[in-house]
Amino acid sequence: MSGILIVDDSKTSRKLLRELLEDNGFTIIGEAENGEEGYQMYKSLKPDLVTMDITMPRMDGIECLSLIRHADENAKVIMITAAGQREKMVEALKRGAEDFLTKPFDANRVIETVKEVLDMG
Amino acid sequence: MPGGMEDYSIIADKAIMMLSPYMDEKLTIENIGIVEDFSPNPGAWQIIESDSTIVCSLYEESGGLLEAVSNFAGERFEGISERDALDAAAELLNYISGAYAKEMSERGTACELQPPDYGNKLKKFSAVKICRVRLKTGKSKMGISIGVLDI
Repeated sequence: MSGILIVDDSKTSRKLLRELLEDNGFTIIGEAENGEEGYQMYKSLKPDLVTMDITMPRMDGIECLSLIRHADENAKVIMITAAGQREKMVEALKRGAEDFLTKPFDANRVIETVKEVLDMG
Repeated sequence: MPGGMEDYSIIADKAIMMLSPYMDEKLTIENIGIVEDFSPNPGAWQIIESDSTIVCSLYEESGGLLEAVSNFAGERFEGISERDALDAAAELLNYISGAYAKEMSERGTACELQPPDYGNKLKKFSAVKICRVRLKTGKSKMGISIGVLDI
């Protein structure tokens, strides 16, 4: 089973996403609460997929995405942000994000996107 | 909603839309008005940058915010001052701000959301025209404050 790393500064958001993914058979192997921690955990855990919130203090998701893709060009990262942040999504896709999800989460869209990115669709 | 305050009206509308699934069916607007300051009560706040800089906050009055965040996060909190309850309030506010940003984007105005923050006392903001919307349910109350920052 594929291992997923969740990077989000909101504990509530991490909890809701973890529950949704675990209820659908995915395994969460780690949670990080900012970009710096996310990058360190990516290097140590080598997850199959990262879900990355964009708006975070200290190091945001786009900077963390860039570091991860620089270290591993095959890294699979799905970006997550509140609705209405189109410019940031476009920037993230240019920097190598596989796809994006918006909050509030649409459960079906989350599962479909994760499966597609993991080539399970 | 006071005249000439369309942004406030949109945010208040999105807030009620996002909050209503997590509050009881008796949710209504108790009153709307212009006030001098943001409420100092426990809650969450977020800055939205577009043509102007707006700060939006959700705050506790008498159990309404606790009710909303408990239902949203799917867990019972001891009180709204609990860190995890305030974190949930901040995430719920992020949804509200995102819904506002989406509508503004569709109208041709880009918005950038700052990370939401929270605390037992609202951070001091110097704002003009602070609009307060008080919500009540059958047994609780909470508030929404929206202001354009004076910068």
